Amino acid sequence: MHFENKQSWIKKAAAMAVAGAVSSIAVAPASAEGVLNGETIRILAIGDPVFQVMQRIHGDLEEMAGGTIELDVRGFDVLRQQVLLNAQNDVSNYDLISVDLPQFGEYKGFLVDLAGYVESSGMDWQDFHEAAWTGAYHDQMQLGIPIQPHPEIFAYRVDLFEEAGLEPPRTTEQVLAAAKALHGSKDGLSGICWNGARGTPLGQTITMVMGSHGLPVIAMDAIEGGFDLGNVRPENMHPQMESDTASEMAAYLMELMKFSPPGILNMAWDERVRVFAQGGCAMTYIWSGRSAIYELDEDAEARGKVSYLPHPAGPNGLNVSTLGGWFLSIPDNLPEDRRDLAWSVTEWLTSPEMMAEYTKHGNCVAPRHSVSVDEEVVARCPVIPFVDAMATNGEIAGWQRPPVPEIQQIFDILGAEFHEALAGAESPEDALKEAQRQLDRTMRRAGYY
Amino acid sequence: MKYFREKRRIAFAMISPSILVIVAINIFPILFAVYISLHLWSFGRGVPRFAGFLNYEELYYDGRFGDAVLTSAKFVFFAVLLEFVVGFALAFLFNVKVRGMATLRQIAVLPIMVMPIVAGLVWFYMFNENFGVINWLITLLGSEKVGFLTDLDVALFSIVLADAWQWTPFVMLVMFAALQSLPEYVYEAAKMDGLNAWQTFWRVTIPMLRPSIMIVILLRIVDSFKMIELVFMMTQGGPAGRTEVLPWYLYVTGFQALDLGFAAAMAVSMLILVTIFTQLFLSRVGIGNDNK
Repeated sequence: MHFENKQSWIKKAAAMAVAGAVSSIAVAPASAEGVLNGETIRILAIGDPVFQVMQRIHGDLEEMAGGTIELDVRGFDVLRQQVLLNAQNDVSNYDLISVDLPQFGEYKGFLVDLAGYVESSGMDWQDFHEAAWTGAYHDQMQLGIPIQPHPEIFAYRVDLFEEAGLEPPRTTEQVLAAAKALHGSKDGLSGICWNGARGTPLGQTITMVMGSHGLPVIAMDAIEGGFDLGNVRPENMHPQMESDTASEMAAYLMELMKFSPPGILNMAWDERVRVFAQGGCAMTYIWSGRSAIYELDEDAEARGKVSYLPHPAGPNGLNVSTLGGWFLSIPDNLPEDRRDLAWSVTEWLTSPEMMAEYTKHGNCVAPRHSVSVDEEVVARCPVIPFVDAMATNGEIAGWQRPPVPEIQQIFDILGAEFHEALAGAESPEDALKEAQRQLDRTMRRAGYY
Repeated sequence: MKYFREKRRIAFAMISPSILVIVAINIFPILFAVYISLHLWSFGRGVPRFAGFLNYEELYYDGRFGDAVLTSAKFVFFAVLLEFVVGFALAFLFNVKVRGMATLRQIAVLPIMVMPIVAGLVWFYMFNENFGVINWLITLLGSEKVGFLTDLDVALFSIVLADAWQWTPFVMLVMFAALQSLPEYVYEAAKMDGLNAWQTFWRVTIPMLRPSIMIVILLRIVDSFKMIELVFMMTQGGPAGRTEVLPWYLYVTGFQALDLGFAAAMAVSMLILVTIFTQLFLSRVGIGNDNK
């Protein structure tokens, strides 16, 4: 939620709704069929489930669109470099680019404000999860449309919890108690899986767990129910790794180590879900979309036995899961005469019909309320209604991973330095101190203060 | 005189395209890296600012850079040592004229043909503590799982092992070719002089193989110093930075954090280090002196 500007956002939303209702009479919404009308659309995409689905059903997609879809799918680092290089061109090589939520801070200078298109096309923006929609709202501009935003949530094995007489863990204290009770209770069963691998995996864990302890990693402005991610200023860039909250976060992660599976120091996104799927962990932190790995696998031990919660809260924290994932945006160096086409394709690819279609092919993400109540979708992807409920209850937010250009450096520094502590090479206090020093140096080099 | 000057001009005109190609491909990127290293240059974040030697100064005080240099040195030492010892022994083994040895040789060189990134992925899964076949075998034998990729004292050696798996055949191949080229009459002379097998090995074979040994060691040192794929796939520099070699730190700085100025300073320093080492190595071992 874009907390500080909530009132203005609601006003704007109301105005957009009225304008949308009026304009929808004049402007027909993009039809699902023939949106390209024989033309070609060029999309720079990420190798994440929704775009992998598009690759898989590429032929059908082109038939539906009535034109050519050039899908340039890249890995995370290469995609980012490509987006930044493309921004320096006089004319964009792509009509649409995929943007990760924390990247809006870095990209906002060269993306088209889509508010006008939303208004004129009558897009039902209220159907989107509020955190997803506002995650792309920066400096009073709507910079992207959610296509695969999903939160990192908390999954636990209901059968094991019931067997042990444990309550679903909503606090970090309860997580540790449950992990202790379940760790080793069965052959090969560990308490909890999480991202302990060095670098970005651990860096992201730290930012999110620190968020669930109540503080972002940089000094963002506190607003009602969270922090202001749409308006990060230079004075907000001071790192907070020597705070009490950072120490609480560090103590929690050090405790988690005791109840983690073998190889936790090298465990990242894919492995933690696969170990959980095979019954190697009783709980796991998980990007909701990845639940498809076991929910769609008939051989997975965890299939049909999992329930979901938002991130468990630290002593002074919030039950708030971190929103991440992908949006479609239009680069501002795209010629005016191609922007309408780019928008029409965006509207089509993010429509409820297409989002339901993606779930048929292994993408268990639906950031629209209307799709989340579709029975067939829910049958395929049990995680979707849980995420929808979290979105409705305000248990999803994006501020934990601040949308600033230095976000990748933040992940790397935190993930490298704190790995020393997890591996027992130095104390958590020293690791946090060193991380603070390096982050401070990074912000000074960038000229923030 | 005029004739010679004219001839020189023609010669220069003839080789100038090659010189231009060398300058464009070899020299320009190095000069451009030096130029970038003198700037605060973050990709996609405004205009680069001239910073003099600031990046080098920060590099000097950056403990992570020093650790990465040390880790690289350790990795190069152990990897090249293992590859050379095993490769050298295999070359002798394959030099024995026994039926089926040619087929074995062909099989032995297969790892060289695997892409390093694929080799990294394969070894990542083999060493993995949850899915890895090696730990599965270890537990079948009743022992505890080994943290091949997560133990502070073991991880670097796991990477060394993966590298040795891939590049030992290369050392073997070069040494085998060198062994094949040794003239038979030298051994006959050694026999007539009454040298036993051990003496023949140290006094005849090794001195004659010396240039090949030095070349293969040099090639492996330079190549191992640039190794990044195995770290990328297997450990990402962990645990606790124990496998963070210099190219990986450079990659993280330049291609993830996009701090191009700092990364370029690192690249230039790496180039200087490798060049100094190579020159020292060449002058110490005296490759080429044999021709004098």
